Amino acid sequence: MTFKSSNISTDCTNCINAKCSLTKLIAEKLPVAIYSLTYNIPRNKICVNFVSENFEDVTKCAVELFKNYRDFAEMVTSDKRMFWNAFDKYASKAGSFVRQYEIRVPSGGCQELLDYCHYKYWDNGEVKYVGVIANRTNKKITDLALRMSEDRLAVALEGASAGLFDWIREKGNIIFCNTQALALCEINTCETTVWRCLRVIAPRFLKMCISSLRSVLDGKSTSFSLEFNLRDNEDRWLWVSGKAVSVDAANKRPLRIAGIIRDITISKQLIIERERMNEILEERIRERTAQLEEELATKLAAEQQLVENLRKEKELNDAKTTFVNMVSHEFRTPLAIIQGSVDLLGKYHERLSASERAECLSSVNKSIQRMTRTMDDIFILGKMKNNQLKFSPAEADVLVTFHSILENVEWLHGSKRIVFEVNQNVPPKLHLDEGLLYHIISNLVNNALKYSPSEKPVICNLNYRGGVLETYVEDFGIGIPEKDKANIFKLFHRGSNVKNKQGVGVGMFIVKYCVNLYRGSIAILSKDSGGTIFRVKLPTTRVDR
Amino acid sequence: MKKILLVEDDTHLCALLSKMLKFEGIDTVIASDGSVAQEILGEIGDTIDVILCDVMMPNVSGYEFLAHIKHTVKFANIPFIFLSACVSKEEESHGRALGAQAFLKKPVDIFTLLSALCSSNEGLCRLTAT
Repeated sequence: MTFKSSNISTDCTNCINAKCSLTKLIAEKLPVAIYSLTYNIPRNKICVNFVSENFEDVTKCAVELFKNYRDFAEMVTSDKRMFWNAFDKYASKAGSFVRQYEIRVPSGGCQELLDYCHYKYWDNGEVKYVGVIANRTNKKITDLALRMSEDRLAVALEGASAGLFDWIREKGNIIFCNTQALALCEINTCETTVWRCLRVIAPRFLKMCISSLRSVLDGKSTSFSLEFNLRDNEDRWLWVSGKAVSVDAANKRPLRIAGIIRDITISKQLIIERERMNEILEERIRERTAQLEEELATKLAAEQQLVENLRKEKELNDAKTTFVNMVSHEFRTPLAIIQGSVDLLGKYHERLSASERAECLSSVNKSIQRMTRTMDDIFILGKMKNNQLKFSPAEADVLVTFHSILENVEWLHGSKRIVFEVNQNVPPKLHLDEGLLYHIISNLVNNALKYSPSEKPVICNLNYRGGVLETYVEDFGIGIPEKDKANIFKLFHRGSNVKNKQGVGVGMFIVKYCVNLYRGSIAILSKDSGGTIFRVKLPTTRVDR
Repeated sequence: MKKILLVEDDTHLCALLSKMLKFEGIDTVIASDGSVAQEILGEIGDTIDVILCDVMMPNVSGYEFLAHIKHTVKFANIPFIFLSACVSKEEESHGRALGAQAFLKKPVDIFTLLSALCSSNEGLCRLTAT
């Protein structure tokens, strides 16, 4: 900065120079213009001695205009009387005054200037002034904007639905809070401390709130956001959301904490209600789904049961039809033999030899026995159904009993293929239920004969060990397919490979029933070559002598 | 001598029928089931005048046997009579549908049997009339 000192009088040069350094310093550091002028009272003349170089920058007014001070005064648009009054202050020897005035600058527009001036009265009738001018135009605009902004903020704060607060750490008091915050936190005065506010928070949230606040205060976090319950002035529990941020942190520890607190009770209640409704809805959906699944399962089970029942009914009907056909066959074939024998004896009696006649009668006899046997099977089924078949052992000759059974079967079957093997350890006499034994052995041997080639033997092997009479019936016939083994003892079941072999599907059912009555067991033993081996184990006691 | 192929798995009945028919001047060839009957037909089919056949038999049933010979041009015209223990109308309809001239039900008396044989073969009729 350079100083223009051409118009400065000699007697004040030292004074001006003495203040030059300070002036320069001030002018450099602050956006102010510095000037000095002399007022010659007797001559009523104002002479501008010095103007700092930045005058134009500060005032937006040309230095030349300022130097013609009365012209400068003409530019003042505010109260001119106030402007000139300052020059009446020389009643005292020295003093200072402040003026604030507005000038209209030639370039257009107005500038608001603040003029601080120090004066000194000299005996020669001159008053010397040294002044500093600051331009307040921008500040005025800023102040206006700030005031407007403050007005708007005040309206916003009071009109806001959320509560706002500002807390200074050093004092520990809330320095600002709006009406909503007061209403929410039961704060009656802005002097209330934050800690005092905590007393309205529901106990279950207190620990969490204090912990979050401590975290910010200790500088571990810069903000927190919480949702909690607090009690309002009317003693109601509200849901609020609180958010706070640290402001003006020093050494990472906040000097202030500003926050917002919002009543979210309605939205929370809506959320809670929505969640409750969702839960109810989901529960109802679950219940309904379970109910539907149960209904579906019941329906499916019922359908399956129905299908199963229909299948069983069909099976039963088929079995009954088969049974009726088989029984019919089992009766009609021997009846046909009887009919044939009667016809032969009746029509051709003269032409028959004595042995042929005897043979005819024998055929009638065998046929009657065959029908009797079929009748017996049906009769036994009836007894089994009514639980009338009982286990009643009695002393019996083993060999006589077995020979009798096997001969009967052989005779009925009309073939002599049975090989009877008796182990030496079989006692001659045992306690046997001959009736049950007949049903078991005759059916097994009859089947063996029926389902094996006429040139192959059927072996009946007898053994006795450990109080158990073991009978093996072996044939070399068609065998039992693996898939039939599980059902072979079921009523009316016939092997899938029996083709048109006669039978009603009751024999093996009777066998199993009788073995069970005997408390024995029956097994189908595997056989590499064709055929079947049945092993029957019957617990049998010896006859004491 | 007229010849009948008797297909029946019951040996006692076979023997009786064979004897009765012999007294009536009819020769019988016996087969224990359909498969044996097919073999016999293959050997002496030309000499067979009538086939008298059971339905339910092991291996090859009477129905299967009839179906087989109806497909064999050479034997398709041999009169075929069922003699069965199956007595339902369905069985009889099935047998007749397959081509059987008669469906006799066990037990059958000699007069009914001879009548059926006569109906199926005129030669047999003349023979039995004498």
